[in-house]
Amino acid sequence: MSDKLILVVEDDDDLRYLAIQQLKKLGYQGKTASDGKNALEKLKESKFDLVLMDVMMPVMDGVTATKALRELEKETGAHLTVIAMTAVSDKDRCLSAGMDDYIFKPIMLDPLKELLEKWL
Amino acid sequence: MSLFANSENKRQELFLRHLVNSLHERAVFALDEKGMITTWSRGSQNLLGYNEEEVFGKHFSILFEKNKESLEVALNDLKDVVRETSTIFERELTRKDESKFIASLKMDHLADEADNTLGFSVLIQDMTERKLAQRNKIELAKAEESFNHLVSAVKDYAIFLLSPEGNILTWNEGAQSAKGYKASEIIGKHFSTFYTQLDKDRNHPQFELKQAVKEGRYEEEGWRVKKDGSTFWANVTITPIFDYEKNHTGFIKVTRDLTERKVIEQKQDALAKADETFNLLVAAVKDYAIFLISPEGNILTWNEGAKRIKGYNSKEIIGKNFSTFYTKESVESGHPEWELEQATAKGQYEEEGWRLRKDGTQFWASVSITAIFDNARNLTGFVKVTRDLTERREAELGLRKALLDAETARDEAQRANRLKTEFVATISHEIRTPMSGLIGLAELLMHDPDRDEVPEMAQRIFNSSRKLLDVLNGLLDFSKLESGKVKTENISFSPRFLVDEVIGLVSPLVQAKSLSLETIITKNVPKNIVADETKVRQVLNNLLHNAVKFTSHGRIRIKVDRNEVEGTDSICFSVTDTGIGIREEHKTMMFEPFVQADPSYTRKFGGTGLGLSICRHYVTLMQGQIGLESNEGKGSTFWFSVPVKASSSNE
Repeated sequence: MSDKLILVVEDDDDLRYLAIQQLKKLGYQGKTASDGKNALEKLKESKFDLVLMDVMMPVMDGVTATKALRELEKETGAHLTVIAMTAVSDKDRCLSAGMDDYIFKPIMLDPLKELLEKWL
Repeated sequence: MSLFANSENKRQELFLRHLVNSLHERAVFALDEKGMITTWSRGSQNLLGYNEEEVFGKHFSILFEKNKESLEVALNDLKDVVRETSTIFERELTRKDESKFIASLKMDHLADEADNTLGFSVLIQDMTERKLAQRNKIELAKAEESFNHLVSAVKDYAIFLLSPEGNILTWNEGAQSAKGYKASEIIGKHFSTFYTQLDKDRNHPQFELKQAVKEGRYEEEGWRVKKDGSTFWANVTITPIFDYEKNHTGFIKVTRDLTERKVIEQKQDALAKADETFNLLVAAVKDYAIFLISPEGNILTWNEGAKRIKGYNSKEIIGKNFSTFYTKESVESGHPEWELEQATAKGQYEEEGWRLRKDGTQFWASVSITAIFDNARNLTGFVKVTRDLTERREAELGLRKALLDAETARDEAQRANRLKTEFVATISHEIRTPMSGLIGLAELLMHDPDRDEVPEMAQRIFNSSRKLLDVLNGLLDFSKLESGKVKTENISFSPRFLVDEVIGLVSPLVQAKSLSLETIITKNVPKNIVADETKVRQVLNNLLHNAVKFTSHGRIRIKVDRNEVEGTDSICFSVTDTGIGIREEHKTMMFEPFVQADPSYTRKFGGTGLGLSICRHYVTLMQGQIGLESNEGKGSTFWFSVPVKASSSNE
């Protein structure tokens, strides 16, 4: 069991549940946020090692939230790994917004494991 | 007393007497030394009227005026004759009948060797005719001189004399200026010099002279040639002249240069002809109304086109004001007068506008008004040209509309295309989300799942499957609606139960977002109504889900009311939220398929963009109304109505 803490940002309740179960299976601890705005609040509360970020979300989408995060990090010089959970068509938009990598939905255990090992 | 005493002398005397008497026209007689008449010839009797008996022994002064002075004159004359021997006098004599005449008196003094006066011989000749002839001759010469001066001074007319053969004898100033020759150059030449080759070839100069002799005068107008070869239009008169013996001595030729007059006449002729042609042309023009109006705007002429376009014949309209063709509003605003002012100020005025026909119908006219001024710049009227462009205008409008329609259609097609692209992206997201849940959860179940989590995983697989099914059903509903296959199925149901049921479906979401939810059902809503319950539920469910989806804080209120909607007694369902609201410009397209107010809403809020479109279709099928009120940032109210068909059994 890793001590790394991952934030899952996802508006769909079922997918949030799935992500947490998948992380648990892979030996990571996860917390959830229901949208980008909620995620930024959670990031202030706790220290995370990685963010799995959905793109299409109500209130604040993943791209906007990442840009805001990167702005905040300019003051501290920190860099939190943000990975997009997206459809193929959104990949470039995510990278240019400051996300570090991406994983296509539907998310399967093996690619997720590989990705997390790469970044953690 | 006898002059000859002897017989020889007597014979001579007799001879002389015969001789003297043979002079019929002259008076020959003798006087004695005192002036008394001693002989009297037949010629004396003829000339003076007295016979021998009446004058013998009388003093010759009886031939003078019978007064004292005449006697003295006669005696003085005798003295002169004595002194001079032979004298010729010119005296006025009186005949026996007292008529007077001018006479030449030749008197000779007869004397003997000792110069003693024996008597006088007198020869009297009547001078009247010769005198007159002499005077006439002088006056004629004077007149001729004046006349020659006059003729030579005349500048406007070439006046000259021709010989009977036509050779030029004289030349005046007018001839020089008209024909360009000096007198020295032309005198002696033939007058045909002034004629064109054509005239010469046909012997016209000779013809003119012949005619002049025949008729006493010849006159014509024709082209003549100047010295420099140029031609001029001449008025020519030729008059033959004859002497006293009626001998033909030549011609007077008078020529006047009428070129200027001719040119003016030709111009006038051409103008008159052009005028006539133009008038005929204008009258015949059918496509244009062309007419003259006075400075005051009264119609002066009328053509075929005017008749055809405006419907009036010339009798009906001439004299009327041209504002007759303008609409009432146009006349009231003073537009016709204004047009004339413009035309007067600028020379011309043009416009397109509506005009009236005789029958009151309107036509779209192209109008041009041109002011006409005389040489002194006084306004004399206007030419008005009107063309009926109704057909052209309609064609133009039609074309413009067609273009606009085509443009709209193109925009529509582009928009529809864009909407479909967005729709595909939206649908794929809507399918991908539950699909991701299904696949992921199924994978977890396959790999030794946490036993405690299995029931929840199953539940979530079920939920995701239902969501997927909803999306598919929505698509099917929509495609059915689009193809017009959906029918309504009315049953009696309780609106209160229906509201409760729909709230039940959405309450987990409401609770999850900590929203408050309230329901108001007014008392005038019947217990049961007759409508398509399934569709009412679907619409209300959709509106409520939207309200929850787009509201993060606050409350949602469901209200059921009974109202008049556009004159129809209806049940109204409304859902009011305190959500993001809808911008004014997005309101009208909210019920169209594939549309979400903002494409980013799809990502933020999900949804296919078909919900409201389906709702509208359903409500329309139920003969109801659907609409929304919204303030951006404050919330929205979506409502729909269905006509009241209260169920009689449950009223």
